[in-house]
Amino acid sequence: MKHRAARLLFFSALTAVAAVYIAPVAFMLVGSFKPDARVLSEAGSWRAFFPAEASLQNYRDVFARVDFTRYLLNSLWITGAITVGGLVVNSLAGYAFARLRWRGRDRLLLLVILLMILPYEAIAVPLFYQVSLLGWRDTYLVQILPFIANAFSIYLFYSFFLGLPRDLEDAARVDGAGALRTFVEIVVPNSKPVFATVTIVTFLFFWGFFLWPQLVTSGDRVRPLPVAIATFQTLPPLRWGDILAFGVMMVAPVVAVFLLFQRWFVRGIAATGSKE
Amino acid sequence: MASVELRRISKTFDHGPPALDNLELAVDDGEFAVMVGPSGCGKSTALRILAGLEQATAGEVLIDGRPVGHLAPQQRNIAMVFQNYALYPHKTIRANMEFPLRMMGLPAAERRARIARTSAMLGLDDLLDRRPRQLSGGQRQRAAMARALVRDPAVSLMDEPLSNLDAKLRVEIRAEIAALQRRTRLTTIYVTHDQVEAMTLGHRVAVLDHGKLQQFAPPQTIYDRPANTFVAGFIGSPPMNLWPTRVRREGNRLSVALGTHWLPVPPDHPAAGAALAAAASRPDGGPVIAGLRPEAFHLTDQAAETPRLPVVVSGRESLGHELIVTVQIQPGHADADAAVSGDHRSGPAGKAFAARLPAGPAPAEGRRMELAVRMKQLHLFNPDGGAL
Repeated sequence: MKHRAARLLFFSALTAVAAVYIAPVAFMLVGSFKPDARVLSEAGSWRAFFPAEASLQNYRDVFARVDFTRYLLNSLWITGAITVGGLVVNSLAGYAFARLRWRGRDRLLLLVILLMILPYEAIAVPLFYQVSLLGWRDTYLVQILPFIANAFSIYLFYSFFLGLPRDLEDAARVDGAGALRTFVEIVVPNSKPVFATVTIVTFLFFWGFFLWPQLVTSGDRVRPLPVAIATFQTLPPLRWGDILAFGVMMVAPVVAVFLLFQRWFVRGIAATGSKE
Repeated sequence: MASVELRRISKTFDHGPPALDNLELAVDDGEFAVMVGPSGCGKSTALRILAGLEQATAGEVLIDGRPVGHLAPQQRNIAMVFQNYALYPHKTIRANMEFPLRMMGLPAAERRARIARTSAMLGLDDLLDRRPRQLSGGQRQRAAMARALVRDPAVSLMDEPLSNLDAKLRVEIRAEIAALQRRTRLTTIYVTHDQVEAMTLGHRVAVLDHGKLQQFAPPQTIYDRPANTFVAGFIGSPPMNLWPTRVRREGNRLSVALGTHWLPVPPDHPAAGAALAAAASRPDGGPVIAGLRPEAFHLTDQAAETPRLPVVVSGRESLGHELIVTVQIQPGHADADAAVSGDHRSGPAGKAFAARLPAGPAPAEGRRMELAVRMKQLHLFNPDGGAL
C-alpha cells in the first residue's frame, strides 16, 4: 500500500515537471489556431490549451504580412550548408586526429578541445570586424563559412572513431585501400550514429542561431528565421496569434529532422558514452 | 607464392621494452609457419610488421627476396585474416570479397569469376548475399579466409583466427585451414597462443618469448628437442617437469639428482657427451636443469631394470583416456648422503611434478608409490636454460 502511494507521488511529480516543459509548446501550437483576441484573453486560464474557433487564419496572415517562404528557404540553405559542410570537414578532421599519425597532432587536438570551451560570443565581435573588412556582410557566405569547422563536432567524431575496431581499417589497408578510400568506404558506413548525432546537434543549434545573423544581416534577402521572427514581433500591428503561427512553422523542420535521425541519434549518444 | 624473411627485426613502442628483439625468421615458399608464444611475446607485432601495418624500429622484411619495408600494406601482395575476422559489417560477403579485387582494378567479369572460384572452394556459395552479422562464427571465419584468398596473394597471414570459436568448431576449422593450405600451397604465417594449433598446423613452429625467437623447427623437433627451458615448459600439456639440479660422474657413468635420488644418464643419451661430462666435473658440482615430460614416468614394471623414484601422490586428474597424477618425490633412504645439498636442498625434493599414466583407478591422494623413469627421455639444460 505504502509502496503504491509512493509510486503515485513519484509519477505525479514527474507529470508536473513534464507539464512545465510541455505547456509553452502546447500554448504555442493551440494559440496559433485561435483568433488573435482569444490568445491573450485566455492566456491565464486552462482554456489556453483548448482551441476555440480554430482556423488557419493566423498562418495565412503570416504569409500575407511577410515573405515567410524566403526566410524559410534562407534558413534551410544556411543551416543545411553548415550541417552538410560540417559533416564532411569535421569528420575528416576527427578521423585525422583519431587515426593518422602526423607532427603536432596531439597539440592541435588540445587546441581543438580548448576551442570547445571558448564561448562563441567571445569571438563574435572580432569575427564581425574581420568579415566587415572582407566585405562579406549581408551574404549567405558570412553566415555559413565561419561555422562549418566546429570544435565540438570534431571532438564527437574523434571520440567515436577512436572506439571503432581498428582491424576494419587494417583489413581495408591490406586489401589495398588508401586512407581516404578506407574512410569513405569503410569508416563512414560504420559511423552512422555519430553522423546522425552531429547532424542533429548542428542543425538544431544553427536553426535557432540568432546573434550572428542579427549582426551581419540588414535586409530581408539573406535573413534567416530567428532574426525574421524577432523583427516580426516588432512589426505593427502586434498580433500574438500570427507570432505563434510563425513560431510553429519555424519549429516544424527541426522536429522533422529529429524524427528522421533520432534512431541513430539515441544510439550515437549511447555509443559516445560507452565507447564500445 | 613467395618466401618470407624477417631479418634482425626489432620493434620498440614509445620507449618501452622491446616488443621484438632481433627477430630472425625465414619462411620457405609454400610453407605453413606458426608463430606461438604467450601473450605479449611479440608474435602479433611481428605479423603486423610483415603486413606493413606497423613499422619495424630496425631490421628488414623481405618477401621473395625483395625488401618491402618501404612498401605500404597494399603493395606487398599479402592477405591477412584477423582475430575478430574484420569483415566489413555493412557489406555482403560478396561485397567483402569483391573489395580487394576492386582495389586491384580487376574488371567485373574477372572479379565474378574469382569470387565464384573462392566461394566454391570454401563452401560459401549460399552465403554470398548475407551480411557478416547473419553468419555463424564458423561461417564468418570462412568468409574472412575467402576475402583473404580471393586475391591470390603471395603470402597469407593469420592472426589468431580461431580464438573466437568454441572448442568443437576450432578443431573443425583447424582441419579446414590445414587442408586449404595443402591444396593452395600458399605461404602462410599463422600466429597463435595455442600450442595445439601450433603443433597440428605448422610445418615449422617458431616459439617466441619476450620478443625473441626461442626456436624455429618442425613441431616434433620442438617437442622432442626443445632448444631451451622456455620451449620445454611452453610446449606440451602438462608441460615438461623441470628441476634445477646437479650431475655427477662416477667412473664413466653420469647420473643426475632428482630429489635425493641419483638416476643414471644412459650412455647413449644425446646429452651425455663432452658438455655434460664437463659440467659434471665442475668444482661447483655440475649444476644443470633436468627435464622430464609427464609421459617419461610410468607405473613400475617389476621385470624392467628402469630407475625408480619413490613418490607420494598429491593430486590427480582423470581425462578419461589417461590419468594426470601430481606427485612429490619422497626423500630416499639409501642415498641420504645429500645428493642434493646446499642450494638445491629445498628445491627438487618438495616440488610437485606431473606424470601421465594410463587410464585406470586413480591412486588415492597421499598414497606412496614408485614411478619408473624412462631415462632415455631425460632432457638436460644449462642453468641459463639452453639445451645441453
